[in-house]
Amino acid sequence: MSKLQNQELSTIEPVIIADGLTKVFRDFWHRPIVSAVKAVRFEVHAGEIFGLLGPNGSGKSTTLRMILGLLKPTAGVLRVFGKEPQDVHSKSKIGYLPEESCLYPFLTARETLTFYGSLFNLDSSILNERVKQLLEMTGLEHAATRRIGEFSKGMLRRIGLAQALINDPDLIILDEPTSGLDPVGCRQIKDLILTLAGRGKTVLISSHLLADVESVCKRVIIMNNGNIIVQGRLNELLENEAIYRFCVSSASAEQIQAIQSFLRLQTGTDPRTDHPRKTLEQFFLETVARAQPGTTTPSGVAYAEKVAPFLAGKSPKDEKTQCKK
Amino acid sequence: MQKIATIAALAIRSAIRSRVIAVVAVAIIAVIISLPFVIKGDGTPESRSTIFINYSFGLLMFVLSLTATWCGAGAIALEIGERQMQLLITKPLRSFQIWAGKLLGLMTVNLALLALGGALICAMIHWTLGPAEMNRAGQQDLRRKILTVYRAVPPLKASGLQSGRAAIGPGQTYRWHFDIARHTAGTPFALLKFRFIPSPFSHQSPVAGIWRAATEKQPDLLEQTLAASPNMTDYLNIPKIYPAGMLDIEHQNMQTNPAVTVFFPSENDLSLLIPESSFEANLLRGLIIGFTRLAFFTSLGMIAGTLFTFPVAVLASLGMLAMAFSGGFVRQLAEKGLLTDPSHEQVSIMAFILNDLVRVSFRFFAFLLSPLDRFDPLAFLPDRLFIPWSLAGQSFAVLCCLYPLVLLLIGAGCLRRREIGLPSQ
Repeated sequence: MSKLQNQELSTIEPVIIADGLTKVFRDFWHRPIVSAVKAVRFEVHAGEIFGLLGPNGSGKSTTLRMILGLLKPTAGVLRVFGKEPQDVHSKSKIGYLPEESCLYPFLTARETLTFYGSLFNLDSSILNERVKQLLEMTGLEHAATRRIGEFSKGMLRRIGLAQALINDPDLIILDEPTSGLDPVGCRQIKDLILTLAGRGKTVLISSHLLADVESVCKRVIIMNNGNIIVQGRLNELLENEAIYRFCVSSASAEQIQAIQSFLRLQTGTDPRTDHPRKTLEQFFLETVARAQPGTTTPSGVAYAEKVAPFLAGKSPKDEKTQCKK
Repeated sequence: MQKIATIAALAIRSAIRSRVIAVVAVAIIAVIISLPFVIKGDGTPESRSTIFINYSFGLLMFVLSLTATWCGAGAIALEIGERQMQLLITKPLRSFQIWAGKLLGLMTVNLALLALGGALICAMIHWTLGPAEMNRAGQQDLRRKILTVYRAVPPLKASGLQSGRAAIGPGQTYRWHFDIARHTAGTPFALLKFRFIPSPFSHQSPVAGIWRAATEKQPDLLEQTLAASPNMTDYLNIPKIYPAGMLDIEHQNMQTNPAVTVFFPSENDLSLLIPESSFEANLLRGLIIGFTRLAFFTSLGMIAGTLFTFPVAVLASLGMLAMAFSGGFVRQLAEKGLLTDPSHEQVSIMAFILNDLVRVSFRFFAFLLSPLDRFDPLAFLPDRLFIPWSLAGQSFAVLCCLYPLVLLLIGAGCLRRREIGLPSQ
């Protein structure tokens, strides 16, 4: 990380501070069996989209659970919004999407959102409005009265995401947010993450899908065997400063040959020329968008385009929202 | 408070949608409705009603105690096992709010099921008291007899003997004194409840005797010759007593051939029963005490659910429930342990240590469960004994407020300390 960027970050108050954070799992007799996280140190700053990467068993889920107060650190310091992770006031500013569905199967989608929203002491009119907007945003409006137990995996991810956002949180923790979602849903989540970050929200993502992390995260840490092995801005980590790329449009074959000759002469290397490709995701989204108008109502998820207005900061009513406690 | 109410509403919804309420309600209805057809007694409407009163409330409490314990254990342990608690813990909730909300929700479920059972018992008793073969006057008499509850007045302590205890030889007479100054105003009748054992013990035929009752104003209140069976609880009707200070009951043993001595060995073997209240009002007080017991069992199940996984929690809490239903066994183990004669020389040191461990453990259980012995509606309702409002109030304070509050603090503390996000969970 450059000196300037370090200075920029140091002026922003960290939302999460982990210093020497360690977690040792013990057996029934209190004997240590595994060190899941080993004295890691990192900070997540307000407004950042922060990625937590690593192979299975690297300690990222344990780290997330400590941040959420579900596990207690064995050693080290962990502060969320400057307080202990178990602090109730800190929790009121957090939204969490777990990797697996942790919802009540006997509740309907609408009841689920209303239940979790009620835990934030939201005014009932605001809560109802948010529930409506979130159901619309996640494309589950037509499944609002269906029980969670009947939902497909993709629908579970969507309703899980909706419950994580019901309180318009300042810190959003997403564990494998795109797992189980189709490309349209993945794109929506990525757009949502960018929108939230644009409003100064902090997003912490743990994912195996590196392409997803790459397209939204600004800074990442990569963990392995309980240690942080890489930490930094994504641009810096991925940029290859030894190679340059020029993009030219509407050039004839002769012009391309002339440019290649020039570059060969100047650099002494053989320049590579090819046509840029769309990503498969981009192609899929365009294809689906073309096919979407006039199609029949799907049984599961209806595709919605927009981010819920209260999450985009557009609803003036929501500005009056205040958590009573 | 809103958060507690939200969690409580969730617990109720869970009980409804998981069909726990429906299944238990059907079980209660089936058990109570089928009872008069399963247990016949001697076929008389009186015996049918008495048997119904004796068994129905006990069965209702047994079914609901099981449900309360099981639901209590599941409310926490199942949610931890199925990871719903992982998400709930990340919300701005204190552990006591989760605990109190779930307890409140389950107590509401208990209340609904208990009310259903109580209403059903009441309806069934009225149904059993209106047999087609009886005339209207007979029905009214039966209703008056069965649907009245009594306050038990023990005899005053006699010199040299404890209250109520007596040994009356053939031809001898014994007199008990009852202080009825506070109880007799306006009572239309009273009952003398008694039970004796004969000597020789092998004598099992009815024993003849004369019973006399007198007050200062009514010196010849009653004189009745009665042949009563040994070892059986029997009742003697005493006519209307005008307000008086003392009632004297005298028994003359007329069994001379063969000669039989009658013993009233326990202080509970003879008491005067004075009408105090209607059965329905007494049942209501019994249901209140029953409700407080269910609150205790629910809290106990929740504590087990907070500490252990669901199967272990169910096993542990059902163990406590079994101990609660066998209070005498627990007290015996708490006092004596497993060894009947610990002073015996052949008993090994290990057996002594084990015995002491059992005694200490069961003393703890006996202490923990001691309020259940005191506030037990089954000690009153089958015998048609009056349950005072003060007892229902005390039961509410102890079993529904104090104990659940203590268990709530312990449970919330355990929940707060427990690592909900462990990989094994």
